[in-house]
Amino acid sequence: MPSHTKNTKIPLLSCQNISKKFGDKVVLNNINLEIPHGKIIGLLGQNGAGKSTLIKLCNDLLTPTTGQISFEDQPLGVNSKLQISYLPERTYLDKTMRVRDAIQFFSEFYSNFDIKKSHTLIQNFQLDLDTRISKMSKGMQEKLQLALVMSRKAKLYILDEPLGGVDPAARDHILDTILNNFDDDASILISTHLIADIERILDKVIFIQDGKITLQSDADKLRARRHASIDEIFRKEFKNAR
Amino acid sequence: MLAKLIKYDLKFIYKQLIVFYIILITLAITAQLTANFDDSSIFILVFIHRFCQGAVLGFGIGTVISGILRTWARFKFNVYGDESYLTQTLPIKRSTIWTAKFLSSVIVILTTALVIILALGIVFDIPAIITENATKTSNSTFTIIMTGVIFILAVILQFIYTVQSGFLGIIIGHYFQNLQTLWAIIFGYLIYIIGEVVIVAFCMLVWANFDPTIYDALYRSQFENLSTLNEVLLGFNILYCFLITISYYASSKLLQHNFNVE
Repeated sequence: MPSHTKNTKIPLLSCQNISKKFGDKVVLNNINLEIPHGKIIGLLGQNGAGKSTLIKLCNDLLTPTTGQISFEDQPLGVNSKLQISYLPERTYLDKTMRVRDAIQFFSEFYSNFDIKKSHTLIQNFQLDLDTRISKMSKGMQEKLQLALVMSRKAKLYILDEPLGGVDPAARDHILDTILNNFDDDASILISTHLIADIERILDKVIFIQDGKITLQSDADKLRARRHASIDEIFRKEFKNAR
Repeated sequence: MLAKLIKYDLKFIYKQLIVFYIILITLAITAQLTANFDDSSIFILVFIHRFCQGAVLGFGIGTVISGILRTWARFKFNVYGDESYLTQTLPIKRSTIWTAKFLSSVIVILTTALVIILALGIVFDIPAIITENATKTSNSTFTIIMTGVIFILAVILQFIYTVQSGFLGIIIGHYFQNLQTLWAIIFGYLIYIIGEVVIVAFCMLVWANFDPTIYDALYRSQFENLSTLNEVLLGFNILYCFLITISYYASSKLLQHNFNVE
């Protein structure tokens, strides 16, 4: 079959002219981006740049003021929610649940949830199945959520600050967990401001500042062009912007 | 998926409400067990009987209020709060999420009503009360029972409408950027009051004009017979069903338009 007929030519996620206002405050301004298949993309920006807002829009948690977002050329809906596995920056589980209840919940609602994999990941994170989520530390809750999210066989994983509440020693473990638990055809969109920790796994980077995309590039090409690490380029870009 | 959503909603709500149900039934059983001592000289038993009798009534109202508040809290946190980041990203239509919330609230109100009726049935000798009222009012036992059923239905529909007003208030409140909870309370209260005014206004200004017996009942509190009271209560029930239907569809539409989590 000729390659141009493959679905991989259609971007996985496409944002066209996306703007988002809250009252008079413009949080995102004319965002255009595409997430291709089989890539790890870093959405990088300072605190308050609009990363989480953009991610929430991509997950249909917010309605864009203007523009549209599509998943495999279709509007966001039931299918996109099945194919996107989302890790927010906050705890979104019912805290009265135990770990095993959360696994049960995910297995009931997501047909692409792998229970065995979830048990393996939870064991790797040294979490107890019978512990109530309310009794877990923030770091443990984040690990649990990551385990649940990565146990889904999704086409796109959207991880909002996955390293945020985790101690430095555990960050490599988290990153390895992310890398080792998704299909080659799937993509990952990671939003973070901890660039040094994440840069080694990125295929593509998107810099966002004050609600606008200031740079989109292949990570290796960017490093070669600027003769610096992504972290150094980021610090320089945003230092100059101040 | 709808059934699963309802299951998890009810699990959350009943976790606390079941305690209220158990306490209510325990009070009712205690009142009934000490009923034979009501005329005795053992003060403590008389006290327990009278206390439990009153507590069933008071605690019943508390149970309803607790159920309504818990339902509202579940709706707010699950549809707009932190838990919404999971609920709203499930592979389910937003309209299905709304239907689940609506049906869960109806189930909670119905079960709470059933528990209260059961508790009251344990405490008070309902058959004797029905027979006594049938004799006093020269009505058949069947008519008395029908009046009771229609009245209970009116109360249940009133509570369902109260919950729906709260839901619609929460939805409208989240159209604002700030003070969303305050706006939710204001709009929820306004919607409830407007609904009640609409019902009363329709009955007194429209219905009463066409039916003299209804006019006498509403304007002069004169009921020809129990059938007239039943007619008035049935009218209220139909109007409540109408209001609940409107608020259901309004909530469904508003929830899908310009939706934003907290």
